Amino acid sequence: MSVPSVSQRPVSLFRDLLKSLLVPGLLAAAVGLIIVHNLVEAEYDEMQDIGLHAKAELLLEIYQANRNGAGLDNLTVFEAQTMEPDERSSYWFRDASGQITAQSRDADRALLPDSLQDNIITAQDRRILTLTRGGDTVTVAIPMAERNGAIRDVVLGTLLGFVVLGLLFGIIARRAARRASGVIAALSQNIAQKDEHNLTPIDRANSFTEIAPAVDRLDTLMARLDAALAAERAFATNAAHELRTPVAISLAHVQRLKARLSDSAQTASATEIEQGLKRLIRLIERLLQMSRAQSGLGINTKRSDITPVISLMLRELRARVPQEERLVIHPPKGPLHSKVDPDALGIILGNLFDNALKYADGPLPVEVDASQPGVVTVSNDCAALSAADLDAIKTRFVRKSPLSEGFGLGLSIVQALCTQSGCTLDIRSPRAGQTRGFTATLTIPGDGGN
Amino acid sequence: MRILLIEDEAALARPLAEHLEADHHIVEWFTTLEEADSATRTLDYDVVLLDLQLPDGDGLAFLSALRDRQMRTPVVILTARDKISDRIDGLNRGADDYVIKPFDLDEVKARIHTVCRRSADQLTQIVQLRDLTLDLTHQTVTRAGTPVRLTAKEWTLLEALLRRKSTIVSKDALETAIYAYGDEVESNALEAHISRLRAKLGRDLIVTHRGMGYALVP
Repeated sequence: MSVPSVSQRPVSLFRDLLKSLLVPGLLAAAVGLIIVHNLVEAEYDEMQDIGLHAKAELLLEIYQANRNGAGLDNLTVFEAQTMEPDERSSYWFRDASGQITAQSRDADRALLPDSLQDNIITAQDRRILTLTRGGDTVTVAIPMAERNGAIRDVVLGTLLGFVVLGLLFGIIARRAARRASGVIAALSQNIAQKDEHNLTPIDRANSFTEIAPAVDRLDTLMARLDAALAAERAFATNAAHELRTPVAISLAHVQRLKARLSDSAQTASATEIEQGLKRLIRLIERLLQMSRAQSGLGINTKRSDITPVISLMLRELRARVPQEERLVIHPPKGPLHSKVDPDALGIILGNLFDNALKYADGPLPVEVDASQPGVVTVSNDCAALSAADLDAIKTRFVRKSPLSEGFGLGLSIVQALCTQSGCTLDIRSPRAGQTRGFTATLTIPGDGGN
Repeated sequence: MRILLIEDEAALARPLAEHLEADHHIVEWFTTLEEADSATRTLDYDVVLLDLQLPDGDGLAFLSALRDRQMRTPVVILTARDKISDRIDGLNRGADDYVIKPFDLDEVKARIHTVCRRSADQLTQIVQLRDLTLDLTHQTVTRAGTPVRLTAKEWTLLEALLRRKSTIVSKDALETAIYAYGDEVESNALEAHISRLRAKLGRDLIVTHRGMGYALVP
């Protein structure tokens, strides 16, 4: 069967959305800027060239009308008065043979092209126009600096507009991405809170229609899982009735049979059957507990005072062992509110008590201390266990002794329920300050008071 | 003791009733809550043994109804429901004890004695009365250290009077305590049992109150 590929590095939806919105936006802005630059440059060049052409024609008309160059001097003076040196134009008048007949005051000869053909060129950072009318040729050169500056100003202005627009777009995109990812994050958190004790339908507040089919499917699956878990728990409950009742009938009949028998051999046989049934009862008890542990009994969705559970278990323990010299009990002193399931806690405590009574073989009494809030300590007197034995007894089907009457399930059930319920179980041997004994300390999550 | 057993599993109820009857208790067994309800309205019982899953309803509802009627008879729940939440619920609703199936028959007997003793404010199973020593567990009586043999009916009668020590118990109540439902009761049979008890335990131990009943005088 093929295993579906799973992304090893989850991607942030917020970052992904932001990146998806901003990167194309920035690229579009850059392309737009280039297009604007080129358009402005072309249009401005065209406009400037028309102006240059008009200027050349004007110069030529003035030259031809006043061959003494008086009008031209006025133009030169006007430019000198109104323009910076690097903005001023240079011009040359040439006759048909190409001889310079007049020129502006500071005209640089190196800028003058040899050709008398009408054309317009860009050379040496100048725009140079050559125009011939009536045998006179005028060549006008104007610096590119001004028009480049103008284009730069237009482009910079456009760029500034794009930057403002970009910032505005960025803020809007960020808010939109945050809102969208926030909805997904809230949905994700809602789904993450689901477990075997909370399989209620997913909260769809502010959810998106695009993911509704997935949420619907998840709700359906959770409903089916909830039904399956309920059936599993119901099975454990029904199985308890179905298994316990026939055994109860068998045990009752065997005990009545025993009471009626007078033959010692037959009584011994009946006793064997009775003992076998009692062992079966203990096994059924453990298997039902294991079944409940596996169906996720450990924790409740609501907190409740679990002191009545501890008190009842202690009362039943005292009823089993009425002798003060064999059992010392320190009852709980106040309420303890916890989410630990009462039945899970009952199973945990029952197993710890059973183990303590079963393995107590020394002179010291079994001691159960529930007086500290949220802590139940169960101690018994026995030979000290090695560290390896302590690790092993938490494992299913491992018994303290191969000859012991247990099934090696008690502590593994306790461990499983502790893991589910958030309780912690600490087991130590020997008892603190002694060379013998065993202590199990159960810490129950919760708080005292109301 | 007159015991009301409410259990729909005949195969379990029969040996349990037999075991209790072997101890001279009167056991009246019903398989439905309706029958049991009718019985509790007709007769007084010393203890009720109540199964929870019955064909016509939940035993806990029946228990609540009993307590609502101010009926203080001790109730021992016998059930396969082993969850601690069920146990707490049962005890909170007024059960005096909760025994989970499968149970040891002797354990049920011991639990019955414990709840009855608790109900009668008796702390021990050994009762001293004048020169008499009564062992309620083993149902034995010694007078000044000498064992006294009592018949089942005599023991039941003595136990019924002992539970209501110093108060007058009516003739009807005593007959109810010692005869099962449907038993044919001969006239003056109760007086005959009282007379034999007086002969065995002391003439002035049981006082007759004409037209009212009998009282055990400590």
